[in-house]
Amino acid sequence: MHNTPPSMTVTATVNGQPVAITVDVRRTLLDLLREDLGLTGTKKGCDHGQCGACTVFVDGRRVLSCLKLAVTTSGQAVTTVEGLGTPDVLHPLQEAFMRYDAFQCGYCTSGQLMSALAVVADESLTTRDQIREAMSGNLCRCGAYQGIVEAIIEVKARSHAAGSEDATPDAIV
Amino acid sequence: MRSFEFLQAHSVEEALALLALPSTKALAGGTTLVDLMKLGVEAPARLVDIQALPLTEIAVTGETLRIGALASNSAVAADPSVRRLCPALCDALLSGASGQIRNAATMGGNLLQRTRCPFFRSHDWPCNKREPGSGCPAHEGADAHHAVLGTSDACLAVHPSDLAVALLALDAEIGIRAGHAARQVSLAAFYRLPGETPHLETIIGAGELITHIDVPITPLAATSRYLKLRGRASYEFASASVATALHCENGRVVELAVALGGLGTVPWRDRQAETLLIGGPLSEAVINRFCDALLAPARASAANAYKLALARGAIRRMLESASC
Amino acid sequence: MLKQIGIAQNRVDGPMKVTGEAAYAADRRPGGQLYALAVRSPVAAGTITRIETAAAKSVAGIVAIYTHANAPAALDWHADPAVMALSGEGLGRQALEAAEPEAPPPYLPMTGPDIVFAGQWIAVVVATSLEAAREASLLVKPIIEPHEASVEIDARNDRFLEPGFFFAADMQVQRGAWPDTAAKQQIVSETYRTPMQNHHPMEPSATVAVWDGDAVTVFDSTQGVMATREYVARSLKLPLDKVRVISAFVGGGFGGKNQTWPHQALAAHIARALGRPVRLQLTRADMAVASGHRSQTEQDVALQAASDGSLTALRHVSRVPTSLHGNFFEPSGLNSLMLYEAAALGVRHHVVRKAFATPTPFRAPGETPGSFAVESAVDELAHALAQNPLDLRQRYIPSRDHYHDRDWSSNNLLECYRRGAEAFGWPEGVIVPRARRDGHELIGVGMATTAYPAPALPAIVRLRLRVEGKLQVETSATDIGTGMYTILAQTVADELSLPVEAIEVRLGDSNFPHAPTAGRSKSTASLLPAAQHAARALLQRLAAAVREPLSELSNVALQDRLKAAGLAELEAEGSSTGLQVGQQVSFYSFGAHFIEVRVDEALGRVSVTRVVSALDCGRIVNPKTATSQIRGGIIFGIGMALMEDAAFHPTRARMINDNLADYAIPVNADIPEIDVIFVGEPDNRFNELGVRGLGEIGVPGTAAAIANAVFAATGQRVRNLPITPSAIVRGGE
Repeated sequence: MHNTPPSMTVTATVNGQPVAITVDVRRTLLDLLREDLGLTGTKKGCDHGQCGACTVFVDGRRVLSCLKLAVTTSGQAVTTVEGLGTPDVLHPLQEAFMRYDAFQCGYCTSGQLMSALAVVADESLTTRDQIREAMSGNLCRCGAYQGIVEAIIEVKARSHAAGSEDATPDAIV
Repeated sequence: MRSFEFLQAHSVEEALALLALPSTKALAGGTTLVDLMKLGVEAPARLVDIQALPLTEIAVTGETLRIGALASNSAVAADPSVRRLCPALCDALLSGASGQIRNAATMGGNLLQRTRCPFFRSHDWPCNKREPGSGCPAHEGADAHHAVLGTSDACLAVHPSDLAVALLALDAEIGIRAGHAARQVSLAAFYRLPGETPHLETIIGAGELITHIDVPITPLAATSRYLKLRGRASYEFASASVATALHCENGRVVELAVALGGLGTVPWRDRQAETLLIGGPLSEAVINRFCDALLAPARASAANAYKLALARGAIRRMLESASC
Repeated sequence: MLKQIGIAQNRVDGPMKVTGEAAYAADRRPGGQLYALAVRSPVAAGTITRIETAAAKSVAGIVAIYTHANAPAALDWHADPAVMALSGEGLGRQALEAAEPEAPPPYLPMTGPDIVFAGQWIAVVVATSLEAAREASLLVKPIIEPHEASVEIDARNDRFLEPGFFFAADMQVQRGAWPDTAAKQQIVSETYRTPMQNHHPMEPSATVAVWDGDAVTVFDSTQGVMATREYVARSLKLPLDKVRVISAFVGGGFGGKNQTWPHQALAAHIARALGRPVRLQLTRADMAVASGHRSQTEQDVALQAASDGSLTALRHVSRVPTSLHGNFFEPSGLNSLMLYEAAALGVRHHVVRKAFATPTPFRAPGETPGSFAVESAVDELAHALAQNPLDLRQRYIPSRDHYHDRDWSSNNLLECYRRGAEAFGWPEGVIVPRARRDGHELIGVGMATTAYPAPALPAIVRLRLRVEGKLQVETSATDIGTGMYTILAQTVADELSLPVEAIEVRLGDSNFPHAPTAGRSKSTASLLPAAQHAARALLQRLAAAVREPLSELSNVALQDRLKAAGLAELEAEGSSTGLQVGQQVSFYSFGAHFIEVRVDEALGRVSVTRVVSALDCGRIVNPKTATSQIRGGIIFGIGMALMEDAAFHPTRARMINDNLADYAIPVNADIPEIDVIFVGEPDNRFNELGVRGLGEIGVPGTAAAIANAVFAATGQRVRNLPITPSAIVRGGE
């Protein structure tokens, strides 16, 4: 006779929408997003914290959704790539990724974007080398790294320029 | 992953009571535990979520920097007072894992992370650490990434933490609670050599919880630095790493600390060997003698002897580039 | 007139990819779907005595567990040699046939008790949730009677096979006699080794099978939907039209999804047996063993040259493994045949069977490991002759395809050398090792030649003009990150004088017209001519429908005319023929990599700090996506040079690092800015647009250029890849 595995109700906010869903306690946040909520933009590349494809924001910080049990998300706010923009209304980072060809196959892209969002927001990261290091938790086998860095530099410069007039992409070396 | 009972603790006392139950593990950032549960390496019957506990402080009290066990690796690394008082701690944290993992990983969890030995991290290789008595495939000539210090016939697994190496150099102490009892042990006494019991990795007993880390605030700590060597530029565990702190006066060494990572089954330091450097100027010859003494107990194979060369290179670089 | 072709157009599939809307195979979620997960053998050779499944069966949510004991009957799952020949196991069989008339017994997982490599699938669990499947997979316990196995090549004692023709070349070429060594000659004779590599595309292969009556739709991650359809249909004993394969988005392939593998059929077999949709996604560990890999190679290269550098003899002998049951091996000598002309030429391949998973093409198979050996040897020769490696290579530019005795359709290798060297600032004169230092770092520069064939296969593209909406372009080709969506839109846009935004490209569906598998850099030259022909056919059909010639075209005008003709839509197909048999000239792409490294010897650290690559790949359709392709190829070369190495346990013959933490691939911080220069003129003898594929040419030569740069920096010649910290501190032994 099979026992039903323990389950719990997760109450969280996902991309601004309240979510209440009962899941197997073993379910990861990644599988909750993909299987229960149909938010398949977040990808499974390794399922063990070794590739970054599943990066999402939880309470304003980038984390790996494959290493987070869904039941620990209660009361937290999750943002996925679907919360960033739509094909018609792209986020500046999404636009910059397109312009700099910061992806090829596109599979790591959601994770790269969510990581890039954190890197753009982190004002302590100013040099090209710092950005490279900060983006090193997101593997890209196609090798779009250069475009990713360029896109981040541009969006950083623009968001910086919004606050101070003399900032240009050249400010980052 | 085997199923488990999921419990949430709202206070340290509640957590300790729950952790006293059999086959129960504390869940903090989850970056080690969830991973190992998926792999079938860990299979607790109960998980106690301790993330809500008030153990996230980063505070300077008198001569001590106290860091709560649940402070995230990111928060500690970005803290200006930690950077000022013991820079090696920040550099060690920032050299580990990735930004995403550091956001989730906690200080206590970092100290308790398990080895990255691939034989341990799989349910179907033999492994004396995971399944005592089952054997060690690394000892059969697959030890290129394994330990050369503190090894035993039973186990060659490297301790993976960068943080612990820095804390060892900084003479940190670990605060532990069990039930109503609290104790404080030095990091130097926290980890156990594998010997015949590689499955016992620390002095933490069942039902115990790390509550904080205390780092003595000293002039020496403020000079501390961390260097990590590995095969790719980032997001990889150390082939070799070194934390150093050096205090000189008039070109002579007054005080120093050198701890090694990536080479040992535990973070490695030899205070006896350090005395070789005290009192004199730092010459190439004396650094070599120090390295000889520090690495004398190493048992290396043809495949992993390179780690000894890396460690020497890293120690020399750190000491020679320090102001003395 | 070309308005779109040649423009650095953003990817037309970009908005889908940056918003997460692009649906990859495992993103499909058919109702009632079950989750399948494999169990791998921990031993490399042996016989399964028994598989204990009781504990796994007791897991809540388990629907079925298949092993060799029940799969053949329950799933109609058999190792049919004719079906196996269609799969990755069959590739290379013809080459080995001469040496080994009797094929080894076909291998298909879960069809018998024999274990032939570690990681072989011995069971599949099927459950209603991922969690249940994962739990059960850990509880399946095989009892195996182990045998001894090895994956090491033993040059002395192994029994080698001498394959015949492979990749359009004889694998045993011997021409002229090895010259008298007493003559005043410089000789380089060394052995080079390259490691086994895993493709590890970021998307693990996945198959979702959904039955509707007697027909099945397979959402798959494959480089070729047509080949997959044939394999799956034959395995299911169904006519082709009962199987539809969809791979609209593929998360990278690099060859790992070029051939077909058992899981693609198995998902459909299980879904049929259970009467529910099934998703079978490979784990990252599965990706190390269940979809091919690049094997390790051992290559002896001997070069002999007169004192002025002219090459008198070249010998390139490769020892390469294949599996016990498969056939693919690395044809490492190809570029030696194509690039270097010597009176005495010996290019041979020796193949040995080993107890590991079957290797398969991996981005520039053959050329990549082969180029490491021969381009390192040429560098060694340059140093022995006290010549600049660039000068020596300029001497070696092949005036024609000597091997096939044909002229090149075009060859701008000299221009690649010139422009690349200029952009890089390549030094003149003899390169003195250990001459440049900056603080603790030694700086060195290295270069190497790359070359890759430009094949083409027949393809069909269909256009559909509709009164409303975008003009649709359909073909079964896949875009695995190459930019195929975009360059098809650009091509059609130019033919019909439309903006790219007026075109919708639909790919990766076996219901669409036939196209070859994306691989061996052939898709561009196969598809774009077909698209051109389709556009012209569409215009002709439209002209016929409205009974007047068409001028002043725009999408509105096209749609207006369609309306005027009283039609809701109009379709037209165009085809390309691929390369003709008996071609008069050889089609090849060429290039040169110039690379700077910094080496901190005390810390065992090698950093690639500058890369300039100049390439002749015909007309560049889209400089943006083309540059990305080349950069990606170069990064594969950097990974190969510095870190990638699938390591095996020496006695257990089982891969140790079957994950992305222990099998290191380059991260962002490893990669400098990579300057890509395209020098090519349109290759108009190849096709009307003069375009060639360029997915692979970035890889060959890169690892050699890095090793050559490491030599220039340190004086240490590393002939065994990868160049790890261990290799640096040991002095390159």
